Amino acid sequence: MSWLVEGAATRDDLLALHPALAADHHRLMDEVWQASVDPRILELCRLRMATILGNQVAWSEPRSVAAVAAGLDESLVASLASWSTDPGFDAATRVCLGLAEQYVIDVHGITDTQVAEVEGHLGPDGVITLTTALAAWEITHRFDNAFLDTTSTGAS
Amino acid sequence: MSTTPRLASAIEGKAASSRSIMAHSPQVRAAFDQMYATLWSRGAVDVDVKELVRLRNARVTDCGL
Repeated sequence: MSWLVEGAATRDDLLALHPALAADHHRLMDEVWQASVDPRILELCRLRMATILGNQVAWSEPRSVAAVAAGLDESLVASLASWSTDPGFDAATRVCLGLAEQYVIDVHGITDTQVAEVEGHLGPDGVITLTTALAAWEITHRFDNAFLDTTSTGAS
Repeated sequence: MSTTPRLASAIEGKAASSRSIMAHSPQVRAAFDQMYATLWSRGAVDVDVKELVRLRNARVTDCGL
């Protein structure tokens, strides 16, 4: 349910108010999921950002198709809040989750070392893909929080 | 906060900038550019209002660019 449009229940219902923008948004996300970064890492970053920004909608949605196809481990999803100490998260995932958290909490606090570490794992194209994804998801999470009922989902 | 570009330009002979850095991932950049162009050229919000919102957002997020 949304207060913006009667009967609108989902993000896509609202994006349909601006079809051209909705199409471009979907295309951008398609490119992100098809790019060089492991989609399992991307999905973990997307969900971690959702938690920090309090977007329950993102948790109630189906997982990324690309991430599931790549073998997303639901036990890691369940352990996401403790990624910094849980040995199940590999080095590449850790540096990406660290960047994702810093991006949301205080983007000016991102360090040269953080970016260099992400580049070391993903390459420069991966840095661009990841940071573009982070920007897109921050928008999406805030959009959901602003316009959708984010309290009635069964998210964790 | 970064005071120098953290990635090299992906375009030979071009200095590092947001555009030349994004060229490392051309498909993602093209999709982003398309969405950004649509934001500016389509929709019900006047372009001068969009620019005011952009500048206000830049101020709030302390974007020096």
